[in-house]
Amino acid sequence: MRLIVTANATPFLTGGATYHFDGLVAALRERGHDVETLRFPFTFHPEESILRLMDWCETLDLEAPNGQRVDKVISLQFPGYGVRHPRHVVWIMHQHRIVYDLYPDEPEEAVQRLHELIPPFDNRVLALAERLFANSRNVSARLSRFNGLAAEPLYHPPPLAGHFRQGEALNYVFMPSRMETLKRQGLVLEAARLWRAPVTCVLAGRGGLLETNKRFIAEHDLGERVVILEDCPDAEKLALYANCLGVLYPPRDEDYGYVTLEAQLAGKPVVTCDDSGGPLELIEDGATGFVVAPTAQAIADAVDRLWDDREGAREMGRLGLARYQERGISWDDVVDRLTE
Amino acid sequence: MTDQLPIDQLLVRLRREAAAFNVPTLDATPRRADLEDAATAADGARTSIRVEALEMQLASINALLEDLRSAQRAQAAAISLQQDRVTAIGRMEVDIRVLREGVRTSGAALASLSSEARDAERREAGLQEAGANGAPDLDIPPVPLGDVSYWPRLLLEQGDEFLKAAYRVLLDRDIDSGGLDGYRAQLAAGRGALEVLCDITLSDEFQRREVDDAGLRTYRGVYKRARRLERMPLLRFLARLPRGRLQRAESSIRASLAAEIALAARDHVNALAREARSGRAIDAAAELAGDPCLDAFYLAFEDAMRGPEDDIRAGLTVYLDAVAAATQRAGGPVLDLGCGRGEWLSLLRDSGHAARGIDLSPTMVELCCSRGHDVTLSDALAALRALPDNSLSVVSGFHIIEHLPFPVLFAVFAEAHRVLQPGGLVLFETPNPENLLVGAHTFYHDPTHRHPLTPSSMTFLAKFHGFEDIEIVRQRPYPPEALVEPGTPAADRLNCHLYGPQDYAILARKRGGADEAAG
Repeated sequence: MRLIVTANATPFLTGGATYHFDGLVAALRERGHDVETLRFPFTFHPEESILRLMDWCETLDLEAPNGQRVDKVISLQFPGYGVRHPRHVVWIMHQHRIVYDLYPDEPEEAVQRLHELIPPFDNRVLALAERLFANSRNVSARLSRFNGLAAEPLYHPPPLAGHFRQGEALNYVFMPSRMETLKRQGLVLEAARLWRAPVTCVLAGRGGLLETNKRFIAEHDLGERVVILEDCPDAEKLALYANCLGVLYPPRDEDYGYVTLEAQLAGKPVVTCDDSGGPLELIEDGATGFVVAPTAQAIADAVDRLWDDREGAREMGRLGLARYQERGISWDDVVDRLTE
Repeated sequence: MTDQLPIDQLLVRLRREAAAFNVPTLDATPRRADLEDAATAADGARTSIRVEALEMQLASINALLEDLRSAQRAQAAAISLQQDRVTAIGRMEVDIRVLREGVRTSGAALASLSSEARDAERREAGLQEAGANGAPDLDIPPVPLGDVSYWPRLLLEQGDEFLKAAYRVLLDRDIDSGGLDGYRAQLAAGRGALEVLCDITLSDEFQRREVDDAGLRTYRGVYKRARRLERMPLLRFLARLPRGRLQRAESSIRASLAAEIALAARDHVNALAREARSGRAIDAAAELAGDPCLDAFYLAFEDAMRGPEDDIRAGLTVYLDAVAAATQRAGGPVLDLGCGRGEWLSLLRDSGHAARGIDLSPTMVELCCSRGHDVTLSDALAALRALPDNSLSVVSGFHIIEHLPFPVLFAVFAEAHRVLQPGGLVLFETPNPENLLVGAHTFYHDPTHRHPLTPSSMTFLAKFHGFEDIEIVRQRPYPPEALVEPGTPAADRLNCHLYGPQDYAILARKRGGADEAAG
């Protein structure tokens, strides 16, 4: 099939979305499809740039650009899913959350304007899609709640899924995430002051809150308990997953969250919070990890429980891996569904 | 806590574990890897050609980079050179400013000096030729309206003064407010003064005047080039070359003008200092000489105090032998300073000596001239200074040195030594303060006397200036009937102190002369 995959381009700002897009394109090509990619330069500010891109996408007819027939268009992101094609499949990573679930109590004027314009846009263009999938059940639920649209959850494997191994648990817990507010490293650092277990906390990643977190560690004399690895090559990340006691993943309302999947591939229990979104679809409290209140004390208690019952922790990890395999999450399946 | 692994050990262990993972590099140096994959998959030959092409491209990029780097270095060197120049020009401008300030302040000082001098001249009521040795005019001349050749001096002005003067000189009119504002802005924006001058001369108004200056024309050419280049977007950067040339020219014109002014100022200072010295020297005498009433008083006073001319003439004859010897040793005439009524000149003439005189009193000068003497109105020092070296046989002066302030007296001895022929003679007669009645009393009859001069100090003064064979000739003791009855040591001493010679003369010879050469 001749396929166009659309997504946003945010140069030098890579994260889950990049892996997602690259993984999909690679998988489609693997299956012999002829794939062209379209990436729309996306800037969060000024807000008008978002409106302009919305307008532009909505007028983009990709049925046969320059006389070239296109069998199907697969769109992953707002506002690229505004493009037109009679066989348009939208697999939503997430919506523009600032006007939905993250809409502030006292929004700025520009955000208010987006709030007025984006939901009608979403309703309009998504209704035209031939098929509507969501990245996770969480994303699907938001679409249903805010737009009244039904989207089928479609999971995909994390990057390097074939390379995870399960190793002996050492006395550290692992948290790989960009250092941003929604990921809530602060909660983990607070917890590190509270857990009694002789367990080190390894944070991997960078981000806007890196300095804040470093400062917190210095101020609370946590140097012996917490270490931040800013540069963490893939091999090291795999080793860190393989040998940890457990993975800490307490984000606020995550869309999907590769970390949960990766932890399970490494056979590790996951500590997450009851407001963490995506992870809750994959973690069963007390079976494959702990789902706790989003408080430092609750997380600290969970770490202590992992330490106190290391055998139980190992069992939870094993069960997590089994559940992952049961779900049959694979690119093959994803490609089948998207190109039906 | 017992079995907690320290963090550093933990990390070492994890890194060792990580080495066991063989991960396709998703995040690190994927390009090289892609290239290699492509190489195995595709036709080997074609790939190696591609690699070769890429390597060639890489090499040419390296060469390009090297070029760029060396260009950048050259640029940096040029920039630093330019910066040095700017610094040097800045320093020069500061120097010029300091010079200007110096000239201005010394000008003010000189102006006040010169006005003093002019006051003195006025006192002389035009009887003395004004400014014969006098001060150069220090009034700064106004900017000449419309005289284009004046233009380099415009560069000594700054700001609005510069612009106003430039209009007067170049356009023969006062600046209008439009021109003032426009050029003021240009100067503020860093445009050079010379560029502004060139700009003004580009105007139709200047061209219509049909006057020009060769130097100005040259710089105008350079300025036009700069302007042409500035109008061409791609070549605009080249404009800084002619610009720089104009800036350097401006600095050098200004520097050479400043040097000229400094030199002229030095001459002014010297001239005025000379004038000031001599001007003060003649002060007292000039005051007397300047007022006809005082002049008459002095004439009468001399008559009353010095006695009849014949007596005086008799007292002078004692010196004739010495004068005869001197005129024999050294050629040239006798110059008598402060010749008064000319008794000495008459005696010399009668003895066959060529003699001239000078005096500060116009009455005396007139009297002498009427008697056929060569006498001019002058002060002693000025008269000596006007003479060439080695031109006189005798310099004489009767009862004048006690009228002079010491610095002038000192200079008179020095000048006398200079103007005398080798073997020539100085002869100065003056009241003798060894006589206590003279030193304490009669010396002060004359209100223009300064203070008594002792034979010892005059001897030393003559010696100091290089005179030899110094002789003190004491004259005119009190008449015998005035003495205390002599015979006792006390009476002798009393007579010596009170009734000894009332005048003395110092005679001193300049080394050399005919008899020495012969002997």
